[in-house]
Amino acid sequence: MAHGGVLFLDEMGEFSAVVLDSLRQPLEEGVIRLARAETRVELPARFLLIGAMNPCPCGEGVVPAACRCSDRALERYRRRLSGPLLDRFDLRIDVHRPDPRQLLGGGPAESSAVVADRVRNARCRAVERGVRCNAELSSSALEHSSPLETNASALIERSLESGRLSARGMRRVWRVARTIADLEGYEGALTAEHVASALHLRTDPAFLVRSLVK
Amino acid sequence: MVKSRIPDEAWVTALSRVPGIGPARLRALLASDEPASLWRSVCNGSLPKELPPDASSGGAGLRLPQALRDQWRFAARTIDPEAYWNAHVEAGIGVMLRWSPSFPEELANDDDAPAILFWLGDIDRLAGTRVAIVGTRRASRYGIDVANEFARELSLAGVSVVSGLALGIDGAAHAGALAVEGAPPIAVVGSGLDRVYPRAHRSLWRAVAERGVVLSEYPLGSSAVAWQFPARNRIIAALSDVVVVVESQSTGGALGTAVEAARRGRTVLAVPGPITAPSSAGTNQLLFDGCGPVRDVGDVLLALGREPERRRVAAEQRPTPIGTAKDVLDALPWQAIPVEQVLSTTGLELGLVMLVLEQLENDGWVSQRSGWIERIGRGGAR
Repeated sequence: MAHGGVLFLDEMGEFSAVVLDSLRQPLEEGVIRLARAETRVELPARFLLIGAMNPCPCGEGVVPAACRCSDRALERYRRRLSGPLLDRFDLRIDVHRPDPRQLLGGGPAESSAVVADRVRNARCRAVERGVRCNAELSSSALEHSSPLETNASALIERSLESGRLSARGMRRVWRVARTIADLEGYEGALTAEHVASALHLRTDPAFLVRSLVK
Repeated sequence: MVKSRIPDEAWVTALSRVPGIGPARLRALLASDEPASLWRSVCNGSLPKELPPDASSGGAGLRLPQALRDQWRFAARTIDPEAYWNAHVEAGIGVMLRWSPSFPEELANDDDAPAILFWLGDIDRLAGTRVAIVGTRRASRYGIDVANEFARELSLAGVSVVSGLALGIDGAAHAGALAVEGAPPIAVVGSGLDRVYPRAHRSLWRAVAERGVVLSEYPLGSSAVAWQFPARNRIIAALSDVVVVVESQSTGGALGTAVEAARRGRTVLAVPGPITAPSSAGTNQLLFDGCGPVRDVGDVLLALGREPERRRVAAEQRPTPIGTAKDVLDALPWQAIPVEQVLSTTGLELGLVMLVLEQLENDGWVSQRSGWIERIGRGGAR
């Protein structure tokens, strides 16, 4: 149903592991295969998946040390959201409680029209590469259209070595860095700043971060 | 009777497995009768309605309502004391009753003494001076580093580190004690010795058993039930000459350990933290309430009546940040903040800030976790 549109899952942490895991196949292949009795149907399912959830069951885990969850509750949360599913999200953003001072006194925000313009321009660049958006860039098209500066590839290598980034995650970060550059209207090889920003937009959720003790 | 082939320890082990027979009831039961005959009374429902008061129950007798005795009787039917005892023997679990002459003296004389102790490792390793290092499971980098450092240095000074093998501070303390060739580490856990909890600490648990001793008052198969953790804390407190609370929120198990320790006349020390950090609210409260502050491990040794070697503050080894890196570091308070806050304070772009933070992290100035940045003080990095 969400083909060509947006699928938004609120309170994603409350869905069952089975339901969430069944999203992996359509996310990868862009189609849903249904088998009912003798019939097999293939439905197109290329959609933008957005999930929202609390950082942990008690919801206080946005601030480290404020979380009141038991280890068991956290473990359940972890089990539900499998690593492979989370790995397929391009952007994973921590949303913090806004500082009241910022809400009241912060400077004027950019108008949505300006932002929309920027997004439109970025999308045009993707179309010039033959795709609707950068997420659809094949590996070879990505490497061809978006070379990395030496510093940028060094940063990716360091992240891979430290285990912060998986091989699948690496391509995703690269594509996000491409999009960040597109939004800036930046031409040329992607810089370490672009990659660093993309890496930050792939935060490990607090409930996944294990004990600091090895 | 045929059943008397197994020792007293076996009957008490079986009794301690019956749900509803906790440490206090077990103590009262054992004050009233022989273990083997107690077990028979539990099984055939012939326990008295009320046990006479004994010294450890402080005057009041223990009432055993019919419902409770029925519950015990049914639960006891599922336990075969002899097979259960053999399982303990085969698993290499040490078992000792309170009235055994080699039972740790501090525990045997305790008001709330465990009636039985199970252990993995070598019980003789309890012999030395002992200091508890405890704190929150949701520790900051600061707390983890302090717990780890104190445990290393205490072990090297020949002091055994006692803790609960929990996530956070406890685990950091045990990891620190194991990182050096020092005094044997001691763990007191709140579940049966075959129920490793938390599972993330499986290898740590094994290492403590190999190099030191893991104690529990619960027999094999007892899972980690919430009330058993505060109960475990009283054993940590009773076993320790000094209790150091490294980091604690305003409520938390570690504060319970501090109360249990104070009640037993043990010295309680607390590590100060930023007054703005929720992770140190409990420890700062302890300081306000009159606990001694700890600045370094020398303060702990002093509390043990030893002459501390005053450590010179180690010379700064980390490369001095310059330019943007200095600006970013200067913008960080002494508690964790989200990256977005660094952006709004410095007015710098995300990409640049992330690059600078990566460098600062490599140089040991900051620690990053899940989008939060925490500054690291002297000597924190490993």
